[in-house]
Amino acid sequence: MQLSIDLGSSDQPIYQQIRDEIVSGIASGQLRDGDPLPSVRTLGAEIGVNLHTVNKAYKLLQRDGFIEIQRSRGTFVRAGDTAKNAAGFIESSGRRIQALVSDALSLKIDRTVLHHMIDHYYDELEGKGS
Amino acid sequence: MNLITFLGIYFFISALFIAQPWFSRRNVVFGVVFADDQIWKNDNVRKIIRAYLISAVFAVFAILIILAPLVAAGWTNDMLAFNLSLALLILVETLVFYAATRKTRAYKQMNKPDPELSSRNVIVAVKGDKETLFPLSWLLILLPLMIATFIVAILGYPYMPSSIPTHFGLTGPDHWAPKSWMTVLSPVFFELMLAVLVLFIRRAPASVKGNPKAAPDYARFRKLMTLLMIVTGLITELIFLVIVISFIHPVSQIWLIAPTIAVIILLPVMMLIYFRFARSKTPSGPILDDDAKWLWGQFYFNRSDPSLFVEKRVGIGYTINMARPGAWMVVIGIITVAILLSVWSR
Repeated sequence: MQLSIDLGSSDQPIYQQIRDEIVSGIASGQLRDGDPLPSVRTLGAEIGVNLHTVNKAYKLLQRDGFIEIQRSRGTFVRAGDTAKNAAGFIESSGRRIQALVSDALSLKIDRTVLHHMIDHYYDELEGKGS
Repeated sequence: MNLITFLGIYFFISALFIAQPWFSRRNVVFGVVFADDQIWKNDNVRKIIRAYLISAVFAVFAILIILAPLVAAGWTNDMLAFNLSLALLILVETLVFYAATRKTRAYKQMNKPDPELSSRNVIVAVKGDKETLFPLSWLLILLPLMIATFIVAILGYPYMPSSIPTHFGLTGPDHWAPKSWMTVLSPVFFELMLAVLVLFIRRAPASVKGNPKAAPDYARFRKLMTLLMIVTGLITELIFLVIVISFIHPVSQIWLIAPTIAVIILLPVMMLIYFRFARSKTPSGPILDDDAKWLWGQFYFNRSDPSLFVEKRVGIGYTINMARPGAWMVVIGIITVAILLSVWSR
C-alpha cells in the first residue's frame, strides 16, 4: 500500500490527503484490519511534513473509526466494525454529498454523470483490491 | 609528529574528501538529483567531474605548497601546521565541491524538465515501524559495558593515581591530567553521546525521496548502518572500559590495540555496505526534486521535515537538518561536552 501526496496542492491540505489516501487503501482492500501503520514521526519524516500534519490526519482517522492508536504498540487499521462505521458515515456524509450535488447542479451537470463518476470510482477501488 | 605520518594522514583524508561525490546514490551528482540513473555517464556531467577532480587534486598540493615555507621558517609548530592544513583542506574542498554543484545545477536547468522529476509529489509506502526501523530494544546491548565502565570508575576512583592518562598514541599514553571525577568519568559521557546518535540514525530518512523505489531497499540499508553503529559503539565501549581499568591496574597493550584495529576495519566494511546496499541500487519511478533543500549540495535545510538527522546526500553517513533547532542543540551539546572534557583533561 502506498500513499500519494501532493505537497504543492492548494485546494487539499496535506492532512486531508493523508486521511483520504489511507481511507481509500481500506476501501480497496489494500489495507486490512490489524495492518500496522507507520508512527506519526516516521510518516512525517518520509513525506517530509510537520508532525502536526500527520497527527491531524491520524486524529481524523481515529475519530471516524478507521484506525486505532495504541500508546505503546503503535497504530493499526481498524476495518472490522463496519456496521457501526457505516451508520455513522450515512449520518455524517449527507452534508458532503449535498454540497457535491449543489456544485454539480449549479453547473447544470446531469445526475447520470455523477452516477457514472461514482460507479467509476467504486469500480476502480474494488478493482485494486482483487 | 614526523613528516611521513603527517603526509600519510593528510593524503588519506584528502583522498576521502575527493572521493566523496562517488559516495552518493546513482542519480545524484554533486548533491543535485536527477531522475536518470545513467546521469554519471552523461558527457556534460563527465566534463564537470573531470574539472572537479583536477581542481580538487590541485588544491591538495596547493595547501601543502603554501604551508611548507611557514613550517620551514619556523612560524608554526608541527601540530598547528597539521591542524591548519586540515582546516584549509576542508574549506577549500567544500568550495571546489560547491563549484561543481553549481555547474551541475546549471546543466540541469539547461535541459528540458524531466517529467519523472517533481518538486511536489511524494509517494510513500505504508508499513509499520517494526518493519522499517531497527528494533529499539537492541540498543540495550550498549548498556552493560557502559554501566561496567561507570561502576569501575566510581569504585576504583580511590585506587587511581593522581595523574590520569587522557590521550593515547601508538606507543601508549602520551598525555596526562590530574585525577578528577570529570577526567575519570569522561569515557562514560562519550558512550552516552554515541548511544544518543544511534537513536537518531535509527530513523533518519533517505537523502533521495519521491517514491519507495527512489532509494530502493533504504530501510534495510538503514538497519545495517544502525547495526554497524552499535558494533562500533560496543568496541569503543570496550576500549574505554580497558582504559578506565588501566587507571587502576596495568593492562596489556593488546587489549587496546586489538579493538582499535577492529574499529579501523569497520571503515572499509562501511564502504562495502554502502556500495552493496545503496550505490549499486538502481532508482526508478518519480523522484522528488528537492535540490533547493540541499544548500551547497550537501547541507540540509528543510523547515517542513521533522527529522533532526537525515542520510547524507553526498558521502556515507548522516547529517543534521539545519532548519531544526533541536538538531543544532544536539550538535552544540556534543561539541560543548567534547570541548569541556578536553579542557578538563588538560
